[in-house]
Amino acid sequence: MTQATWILMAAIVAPLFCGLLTLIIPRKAITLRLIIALAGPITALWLLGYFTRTYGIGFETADIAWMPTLQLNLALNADHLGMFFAYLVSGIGVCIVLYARGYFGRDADSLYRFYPCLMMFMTAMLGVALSDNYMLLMLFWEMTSVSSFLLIGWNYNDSQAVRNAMQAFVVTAGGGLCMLAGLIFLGVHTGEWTITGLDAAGVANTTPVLVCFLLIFMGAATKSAQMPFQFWLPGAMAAPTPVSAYLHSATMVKAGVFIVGRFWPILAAVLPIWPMLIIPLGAMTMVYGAFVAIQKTDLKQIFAYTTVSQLGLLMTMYGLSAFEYQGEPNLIWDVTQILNHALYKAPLFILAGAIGHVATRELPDLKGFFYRDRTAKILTIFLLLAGYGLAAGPFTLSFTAKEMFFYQIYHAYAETHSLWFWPLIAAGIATGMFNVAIFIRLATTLLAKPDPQTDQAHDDHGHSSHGEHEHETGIWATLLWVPGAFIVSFQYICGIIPHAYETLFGWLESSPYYFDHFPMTWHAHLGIPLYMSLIAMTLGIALGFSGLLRKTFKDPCDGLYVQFYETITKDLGPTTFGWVQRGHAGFYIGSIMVALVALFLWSIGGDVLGLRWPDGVELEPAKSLFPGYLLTALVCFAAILLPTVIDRASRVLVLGSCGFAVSGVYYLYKAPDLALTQLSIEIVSLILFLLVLSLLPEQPFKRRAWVFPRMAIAVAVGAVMFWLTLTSTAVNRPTMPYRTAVGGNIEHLGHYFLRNAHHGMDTKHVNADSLYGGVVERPAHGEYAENQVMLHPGGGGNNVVNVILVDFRGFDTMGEITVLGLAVLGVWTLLKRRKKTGGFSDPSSYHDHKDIKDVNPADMESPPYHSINIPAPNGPDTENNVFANTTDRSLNS
Amino acid sequence: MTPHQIIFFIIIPMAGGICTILAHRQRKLQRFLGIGFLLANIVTAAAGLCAVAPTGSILVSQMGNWPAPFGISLVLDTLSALMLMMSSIVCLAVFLYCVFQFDDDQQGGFFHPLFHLLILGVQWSFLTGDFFNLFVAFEIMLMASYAMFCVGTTTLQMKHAYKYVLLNLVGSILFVTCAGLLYGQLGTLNMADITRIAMSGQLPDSSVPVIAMLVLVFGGKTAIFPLWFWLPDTYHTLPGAIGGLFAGLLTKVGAYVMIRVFVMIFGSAESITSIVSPLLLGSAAVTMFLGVLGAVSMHSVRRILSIHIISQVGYMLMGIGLAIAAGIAFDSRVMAVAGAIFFIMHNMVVKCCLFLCGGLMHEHAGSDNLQAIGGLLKRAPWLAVLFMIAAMSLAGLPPLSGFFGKWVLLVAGLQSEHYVIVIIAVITSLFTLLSMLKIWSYGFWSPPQGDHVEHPTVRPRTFGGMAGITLLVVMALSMGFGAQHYYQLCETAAKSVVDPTAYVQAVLGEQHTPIKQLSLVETSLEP
Repeated sequence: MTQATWILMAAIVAPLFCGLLTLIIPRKAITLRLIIALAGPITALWLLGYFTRTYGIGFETADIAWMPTLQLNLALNADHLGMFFAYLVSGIGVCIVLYARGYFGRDADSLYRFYPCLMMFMTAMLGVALSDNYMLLMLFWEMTSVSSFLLIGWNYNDSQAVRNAMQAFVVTAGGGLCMLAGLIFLGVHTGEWTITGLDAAGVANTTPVLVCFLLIFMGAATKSAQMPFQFWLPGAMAAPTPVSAYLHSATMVKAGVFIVGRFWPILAAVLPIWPMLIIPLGAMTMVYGAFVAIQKTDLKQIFAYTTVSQLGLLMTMYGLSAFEYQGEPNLIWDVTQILNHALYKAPLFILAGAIGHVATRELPDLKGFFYRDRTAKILTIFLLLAGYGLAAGPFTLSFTAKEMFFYQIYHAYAETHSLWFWPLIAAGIATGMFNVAIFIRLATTLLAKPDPQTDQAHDDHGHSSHGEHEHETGIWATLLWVPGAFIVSFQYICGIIPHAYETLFGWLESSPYYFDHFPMTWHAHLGIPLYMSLIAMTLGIALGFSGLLRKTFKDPCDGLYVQFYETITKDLGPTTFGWVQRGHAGFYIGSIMVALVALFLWSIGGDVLGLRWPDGVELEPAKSLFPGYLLTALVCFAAILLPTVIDRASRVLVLGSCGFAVSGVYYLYKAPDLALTQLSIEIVSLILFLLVLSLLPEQPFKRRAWVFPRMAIAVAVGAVMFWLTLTSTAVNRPTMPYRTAVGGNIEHLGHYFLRNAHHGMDTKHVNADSLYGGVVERPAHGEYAENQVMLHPGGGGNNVVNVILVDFRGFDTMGEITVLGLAVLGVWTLLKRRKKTGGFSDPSSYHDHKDIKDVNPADMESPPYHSINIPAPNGPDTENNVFANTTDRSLNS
Repeated sequence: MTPHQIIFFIIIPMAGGICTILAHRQRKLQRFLGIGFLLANIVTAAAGLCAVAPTGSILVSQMGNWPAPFGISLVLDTLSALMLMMSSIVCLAVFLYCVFQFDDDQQGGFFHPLFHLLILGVQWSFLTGDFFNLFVAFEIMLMASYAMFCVGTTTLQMKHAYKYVLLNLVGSILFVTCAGLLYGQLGTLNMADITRIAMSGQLPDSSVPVIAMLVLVFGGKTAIFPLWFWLPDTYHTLPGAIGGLFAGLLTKVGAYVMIRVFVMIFGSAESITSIVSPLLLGSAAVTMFLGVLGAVSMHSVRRILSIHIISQVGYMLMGIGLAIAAGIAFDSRVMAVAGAIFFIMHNMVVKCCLFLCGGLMHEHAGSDNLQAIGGLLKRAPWLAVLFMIAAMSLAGLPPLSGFFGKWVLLVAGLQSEHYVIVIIAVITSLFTLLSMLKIWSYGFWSPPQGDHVEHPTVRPRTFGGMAGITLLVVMALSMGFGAQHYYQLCETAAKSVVDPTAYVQAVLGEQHTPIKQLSLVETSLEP
């Protein structure tokens, strides 16, 4: 049934489509933009609803192949958890789209930029919720990271926001990469690339599965801001408040929890490490988040840390679910827990944003905010209503959820009687206590009698901390708080009327069994969990009114990313890379030569002593070839001398003597043509060198550095080359399977060249099946045309060398001519340029040139890698290299 | 396309070069000619791809009509055709940028002929089936690149050009030496013939060090670990577009040749692969990691991008090393090679695109030093969008092109249980992302500074640049969303490289396939 899949895909893509649609309407059409943007989540909701009605939740949709070879297919999983998330994302999405209109007011540019990013996120999140295929999941997963990055860095003129955006992206993407590796490994290991298929694939507790799980969990932990990665989430509060309310509390940060939820039925059963890893990490995050939250003063920071705490709680919940209670799975209503958090945290952010909009977000400055005006009263009331949810007071859904969590701990303890659960119980109580205390402090501050002096300061704050938007008035202004009020109302509806919860959301609950244990306020089971709640509340109220923990506290993990970034970019990167890339030509060539020698040693297995003189190569007796030895000795001597000579002219001459000696060797071995060529090249280059040298300024005396290492490298390279040449001449070459037209073997290329240089001896009288006579053409589509032989008339020349150059390998010659032509073009360009601008270092001409902008003045003087202490970049100036000096100075003079 | 028509890949750029030399005083004519020739090039490449890819057939043209091992063969197989297709598109995009963005000085002299002849060298390298001829092709390519350093130069550019030329000359000397030694060892230079020798297990023992030396030769061209020195010191001095051209083509030619040589030619010879594979994998690990460390610590767009080239080369090398690793199944070998090919194609497009973006950032802000610019998002929102797509593609975010190349390589690595390199590849990927974010955050975001703030009314014309970038981004997107089709092409190419029997048959003719060599020859023809 691909139709069902397409419906879900349409629901996923609808927001993005609408988001892109908003780009093409005029900037000023704010209302139209809002309507189109609203259409996104509403369409998604409608399609999800249609799917639920038509097919039902848990319907197994058919896979649609997208990239079957690459294992990326449109495989979706519309189970309870996934559909719940999808509904949550699009439902809250509607409220956020409306809220953004209130938040940005009439700032058309911001709205123009905001909706596409937000809609992209919505699509990404819907995709994460519904994907079944690993790669599809990764696709949407990374998309959430990208959109979150773009939205955190929203206010891009603020460098802090930019840094925080990078921090969030790098942390979540780093986890994402771990997760990718884990998923790929899982796919390769099991051969199954969907989550639902994993069950059937039969995973067992093996090391690969464990590694996969740990990697996937890294992704989940970073996304859901578990310790020690929690720092990115408060940093992400640099985003506009609609984003904080939506991405960084209600939906995206839950993706990590969601992934754990996706894998728990399969992996929790096989991996004993599951609870041992997840519970402590979650519990630590839970307590720590709450502990930091109470010591923050910025409203958004407070709520960010309580989000961290709540995410820890959700993780712990999945960890606890690995335990059984009286033969049934432990009480796990993950949907209720996640929903509950969204239902109070999103309103908290929405209202905090609204308060920040009209006043400030700094809690101490908000003293007596309630009494300011009518709007302030409304905002305060709803903020406190949502805050009551945070505190998990009775008559809210939150209370139920908190009770459930305590039940879980209690059940797990009752089943195992392990002492390890005592710290967990303490952690649960402590978290509850902190949350209550936060609510108390919010309430006491906002409702306190105002200080008359500070009243005036509020408005300024509001504007400075929020940039310049035109404030809305009238009906649009209410959008600042109405969405929040709407969402928070569900907390109370569900909290007060248990039946309403079952009707509204119960059908989405993934574990519907056990519903009679539902610990609703009205029929709370008297028992240890309730007492735990009471203890937490009492302690919380006491803490809230006390003077404890009122100092601001800086999370030490905040610096982790900065430290990481600085280490990589300022320390590790420059040192290691700069160590290799010294900017010194001599070093480079030396390394290449060392690599050459090392490569040779590696290829012979390091067995230098095992090298044997090749068979069939005999040294000529010294007497008969004395001149040859003499010339060779001369070449070697000159070459070894070269590094020690300092004077330029002498070096050129020494180099020249090398070349002349080589041409002598050619002559001795009966290659007069080569000898002549070599000789003429030597003469020309020597003269040119000396001419250029005469143009150069005096050379200061400078002792050469590293003479002996240079010599050693040179000797080693020479030895290697000698050996390779020796073996190449002595080797038994593979026999050629090619035959002449008359039936004899063609022994080597030269044999063929000799035979065919004048007329094509091996091309006549051959039948069609043979190859040598000509070219067997291969038609385009793989069939062989028979008897399609073209006879070759032969080279038509008497001088075989010439025929090789212009015919057998004439194509090479054409290329070489092209090279020469290119060299001419290059030289011409250089010369013309010099004439035109009068030299390269003439400052005036230099500044005329457009490309001046290319050159950072600091670049010219300092090493190329800023902030690195490495030797100067240029061989030419610091080192005494013949070519260096000639090129550089001759151009200047 | 008939076999002999593959010579058009040589003729068109060469004609382009010659015509623009003749027209070197007429700027406008040069431009028209240039666009015409480049479009013709793309059409030819498309025709070539259509001719070979669907069936995996191979087109062979023997130069001078001399039969295979004796003359020079030009061979167009799927691998070559893919490379030609990508390189011709990259060339057009860069050309659009150059023609419309460069001032007369930068386009002056013999810029246009050099551009075409550089393409000649590149296409020649992709086509040739002969070792020495490959050297000649490399020389054309390199000589054109040397000369390009001299067009519209700055002093800085000249200073660094010296290192570029010097180190590449060392590489060329090594290449020609190795070609000579290889001929000495095997008695032939034809790639198909050498493949035949390697497949039939006739490689002499003494040839092993010589062939190992080829790692040095082609590794140098590809800029792998201890041989990359010429690249980071020089590329950043070039104008963005030229840097993009070099980045998109030159090192990729090296990587292509490495696939050809180490996977196709010597991939079946145990004595070679057991030596080369650990070298390549080790070098790949260091190359990708050290490269990205270098890139992430730089502060200018072009520097980051140019050092990134190295890091990306590491991934290609990883694929090649995996493909010839010991004890790896045929399917995984194909996968590794296909991954490497996909990665090369992706990188040609995306890296070049990023360089062009860097060039336009420079046009807008007057610098590409990230400490001196900022806030370009407001000034050039579309450039920002295009850059973001390309950057995320390079960082390998799904469903963009870089992701699939990485994905295939990771799967191949995990299948063959090379865990270390997989871990390094993943870490490298994170740092790649970090470096791209760095450009984005400090270039497009951050408090505005740079020319566009000081002279808000002066707007550079960026039409040509944007056209080029858009072309490349569209390519990159198609490689991402249509990855299946591209990957299948890569797989076809990889199969013919991993099992080169068809290649040998096509070049040498039916009877010289390694399987039935020699025995059949006895029965051959009488006059």
